[in-house]
Formats: sequence, structure tokens, C-alpha cells
Amino acid sequence: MILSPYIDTAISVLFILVLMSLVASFLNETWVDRFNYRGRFLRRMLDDIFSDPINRDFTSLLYRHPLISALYERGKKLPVYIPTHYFSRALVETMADYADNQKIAFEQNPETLEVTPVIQDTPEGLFEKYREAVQGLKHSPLKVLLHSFLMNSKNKSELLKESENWFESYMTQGSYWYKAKMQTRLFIVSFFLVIFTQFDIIITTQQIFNNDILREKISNAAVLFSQENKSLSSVDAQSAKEIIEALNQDIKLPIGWDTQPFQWRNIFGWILSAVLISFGAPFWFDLLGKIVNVRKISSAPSNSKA
Amino acid sequence: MRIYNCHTHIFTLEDTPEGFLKYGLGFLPDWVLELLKRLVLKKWMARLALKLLRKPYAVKGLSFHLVGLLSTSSQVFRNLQKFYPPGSRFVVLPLNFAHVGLGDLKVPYAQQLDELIQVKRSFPNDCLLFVHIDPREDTNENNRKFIEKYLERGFSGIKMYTPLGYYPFDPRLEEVYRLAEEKAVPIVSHCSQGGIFYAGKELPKSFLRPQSFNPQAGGKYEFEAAKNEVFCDHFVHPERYIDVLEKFPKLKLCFAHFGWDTIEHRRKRIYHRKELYEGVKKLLLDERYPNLYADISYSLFDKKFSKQLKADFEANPALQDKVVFGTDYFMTLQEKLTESQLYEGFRADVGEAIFTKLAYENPKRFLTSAYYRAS
Repeated sequence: MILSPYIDTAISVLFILVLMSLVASFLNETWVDRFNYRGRFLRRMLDDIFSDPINRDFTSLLYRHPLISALYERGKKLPVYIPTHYFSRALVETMADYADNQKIAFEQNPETLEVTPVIQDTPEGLFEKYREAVQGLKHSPLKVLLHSFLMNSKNKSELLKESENWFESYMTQGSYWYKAKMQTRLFIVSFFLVIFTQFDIIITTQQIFNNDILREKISNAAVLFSQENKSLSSVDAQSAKEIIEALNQDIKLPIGWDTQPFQWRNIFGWILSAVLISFGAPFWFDLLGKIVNVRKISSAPSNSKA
Repeated sequence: MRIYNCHTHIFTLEDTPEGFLKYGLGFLPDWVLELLKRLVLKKWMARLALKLLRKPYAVKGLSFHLVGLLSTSSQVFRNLQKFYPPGSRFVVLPLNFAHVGLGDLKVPYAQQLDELIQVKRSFPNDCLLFVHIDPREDTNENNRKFIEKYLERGFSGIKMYTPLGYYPFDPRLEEVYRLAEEKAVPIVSHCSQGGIFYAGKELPKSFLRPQSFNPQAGGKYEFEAAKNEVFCDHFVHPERYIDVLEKFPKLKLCFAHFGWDTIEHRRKRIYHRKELYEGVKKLLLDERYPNLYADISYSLFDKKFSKQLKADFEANPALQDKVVFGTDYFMTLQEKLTESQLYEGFRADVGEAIFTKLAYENPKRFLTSAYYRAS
């Protein structure tokens, strides 16, 4: 069939992209986890809202609340996730504590000279304390936000619900920002990976296209891989590495410094490869499945003729 | 005998400005400083650097960072308590770095005071809080109100750190002094060359030709510009307090780090060390100013200083009633001595009778005010 070399080349290249993307994702995940990027991203998101230079750094106070400080991994790593109901309770209680703190005074007994802390004139109840804390803040964007929770609630449970809803929407928005950041990060990791492995997609594609044996072996492995794995969830970086090693034993993959010495045009190839890898393994796996199906359909009549 | 340590710090790195590394490293590009900051903020890195570095100024900075990194104010305070017998009391001195010229504070100064209140909530009798006043914060009247508010809430005194960029005779401090004199509120003022200083890019004109709320006869101050670190020595000279003391002779003022200036500095300074030491001593013995004190914080790590102090006490017995004990915890970590080594060593050096005066009798007088009675 006339299209076969093209389809097989596409399948082979897509298969390599799936494997490289899996390795890049694994490296990226390791990096993100090692430096607790998720935890720091969440903290920065909250800092943007709750670290108020005019009033107080309420993020620090929130993170010291037992509900949130208990989420630190081994007491050190910032939490990567805060349940919404934990957040709302921690927020309201932190504000109430802030209100109390502003009213603490220390009185000395004139006879015994003992000093004792006294909280003067604070209202009873979390809702009232929250309201007092917010009213006591100097005008700032944070005050406006905290006040908006008050405007829509008449009691503690409504206040908790309000702040919970806000936090949920903010986290949803945050997950988009996080994905965008991860995309950039994955590109950086991919770029280093392609240099380290000397993977130039243009040269690799040319070599696969021009080498019938190579193309056949890789495409067959790709079809097998696609058929054996209905989704990528069962495939991890370790499996990807094993597949690459198995292929390398059978045939020499057109990747690596030993097979491809440096050429200036590699730079463009690396950038292109890194961009493609940073699309992520699921994208390429999906595409691979579709092309494998095309191959099946296109090869069906010839099989029946035979 | 109850021990009063009249000079300690428990603030953490959170309370410092963003650009704190510019001290001594200001010549480096910002991106290098940012990178260094990230490295120094790793505890293991700070510990390693502390072991490897021999430069006193760098070590000082790192010791400071390390304690700041390891702890919250409450943890620093609990750590300090461990070195002393139960029932000891500690004057805790905050610092407002907002005007030091190194960028924004990580947390507002008011939050540092909130933290201290939390510490006092746990140790109401042992933790004696002072409130730092920087006159640049507000007007003369508002600065008084600010101090008054905290004194009424249970703070025991006022802290001044003039090398951050203000003179003791700043007109915006006049009402604060009036309040302090009326209510016998103790003031601790940093009075030694070296330490933290104003690190802004340029010296403001008001530094060179400052206004005093009580200028001495014909006295107009004019100082020549110099490198920040050196220029800030002008802020600590005991003569700068004459205008203040003439107007408020009963002011209860403590010159901090008495004797530090007898110690050989690593860098060139404006004033001769002996001049500052003698200047403070002269004021302490001046009968016109009965409520002046000096603390020996930081200086006490030096055995030569203990000897000199003992000799001065013998020559001027009245001086024994003018000096209070303090260590400058946790700044003294740079001298690689633990807090207990410091205080026990000093106690042994000066003898029990003098130590009792310095650590108990004198502090009791110094700390007692309309707001607090020391016992």
C-alpha cells in the first residue's frame, strides 16, 4: 500500500514521542515533588490574597492554624492541598483570633505583682469576632474581600459557606494557572531531556522513514503497545524505559549521542522536539491510537485480497 | 535571686526586610543576591556556611539567619529560657526594620508585636516586652499615641535603635520622651558602633543636617557624608543624647552595649572606641541625670571587658548602680558561646555581689514604671 511507509513512520515517531513524554513527565513530577512546587504554588496563591502589607500577613497566620499546619508533610513540606471546609474554618477562626489578639492586655495584680493576660471587650461567638476583626482592618483589597463574605451571610454557617465557595472558585482558577506553569516547566525539562538523549525529531523521522527494517520494528512495537494499553494510566516511566531498552536490544533506535553527532541544525530540532514532548504523553498516546486504527482500516482490504 | 536579662531578641527572619542580604553584599547584582538568599534560606546551607566561614560579619549574619530560620518567636523565647534558672525574666526587644532602606518587610511591624503578645500570653511574668519606636513612622503626637497604646496593653518599655536612621533628638520623638519621663518608662537605646545600620542607597539630607527638638546653644548639627555603615556611627554617639537629657533630665534611659566600643572593631569607624565608652560613663555618673543606665549586652562575651568593668566599678562605686545585665541573645551566637556560657562566665568574672546588683537590683529599679512594677 502506497501510504504505508508514511503511516508507519508516523506511528513510529508518535510512539517515540509517547515514550519521551512519559520520561519527561516523570522527571518533571520528580522535580515538582522534590522541591514541593505544588505546595509553594498554593502558598503563593494565598499570599497574593491574604498577605496584606497594610494590615497583617494573614497567610502566615492561616498556615499556623492547627487545621492547616497538620497538613504539612512530616511537619516541614507545605501542604499541596487544603480541603475547602478546612480553609473556611481556619480563615474564620484566624480572624476571630486576630480580633482577640487586638484586645489582649496584661494586668498586674498590685499586691502579688503577678501579671495575667486579659481579653477585654471582645464579642462572644465566631461570627461576631470575625466581623469585629474585619471592621478593625485598614482599608485594603483583603478587607474588601473579607467584608464581602460578611455581606452575604447572617451567621457562622453562612459565613463558612461563603468563604468555602470563594476558595473553591479560587482553587479552580488556580488549577488553570498551575497547568500553564507546568506546561512551561515541562518544556524546560523536555528541552534538557532532548539534549541529554540527543533526540532531534527531524533527523529521527528521516532515519525511520529511510530505514525499512527500523520502521517496521518500531511501528510493530507501537501497535502492540497501543493494543496492550487502553490508557496510559498503566504505563509509567519505568515501563517506558523498559520498552526503550527492549527496542534498543533488538534494533538501534535513532536516538543518542553515539548515533547522532552534533550538527547546528540540531538546535532547531531540539526546540521542536521539546515543544512536541511538552504536549504530554496522553496527547501523543491518543493520537497514536487513532493512527493505529487508520493503519488497521487501510491494511484490511489488502489482507482480504491476500 | 531572680535574674533579669535586660536585653534579648526573639524576632525571626520573617520580621526582616526582603533585601536583608544587601548588608555587606550590596555590590552584587540583585539576581545573585536573590539566588544567595534562596540558598541561605535552606537551614542545612546556613549551618554549613556557618561552619566554613571565618568572616565575623558574615558569621554574625548567618547566626542570626539560622535562629530566625529555625524558629518562631515563641520557640526562640523558650530556647532562651532553658539557659536560665526558672523564674528568670527577659526584656524582649523588637525591631522595626521598615525604614532601614532594604525594601519592604516580609510581615508588617505590627505583626511582630502581635507575635510578641502571643509569647507574653504564654509567659506573662517572664517575658517583658518593649516596643520599638522609629520616629519616621508618624508624627510626634501619633508616635506618643502608638507607644501609649502598647504600654497600656502591658508592654514594659521602649526600644530605640538609632543606627536604623534617626537621631535621638529627632523632633518626632519629643512627645515619646515626655511620656516616658512622666511615667518613668524605661528606654533601651542601641549605643554602639557596628551592628545593623541604615542601608538605603543614598543618605537622606536630614541625616547630614538634622533638626533637634532642643538644639544646644548655637548648636546646629552638620555631618559629612560617608559610607552608610560608617556614617551611622553619628547616630549612636552619647553626645547626641545631650539635647534629650537637657529637656528630660529624669528620663530613664539605658545605653545598650556599654563597653562594646572598647572592643577592637574589624572595620574603620568614625569615633574612637574609648571616646564612646568614656562618653557613656561620664553621662552615667552625671548627677543631673539620675535615671541613666547602661547594659553590658554583647560586650560581656569579652573577658577583657569584664576585667575593665570590674576595675571601673572599683574606681567609681556609683557606677555599680548604673549598669544592668543583658546578653543580646541571639546576636551573641556569632561568638560561638552558648547563652549559659555567656552569663555564667560573666557571673563568675564579676563576682556574686556585683552580679546581684547588675542582674537583679538595678533592673528592678530600671524596669519599674507607672505601667509595671518589677519584683
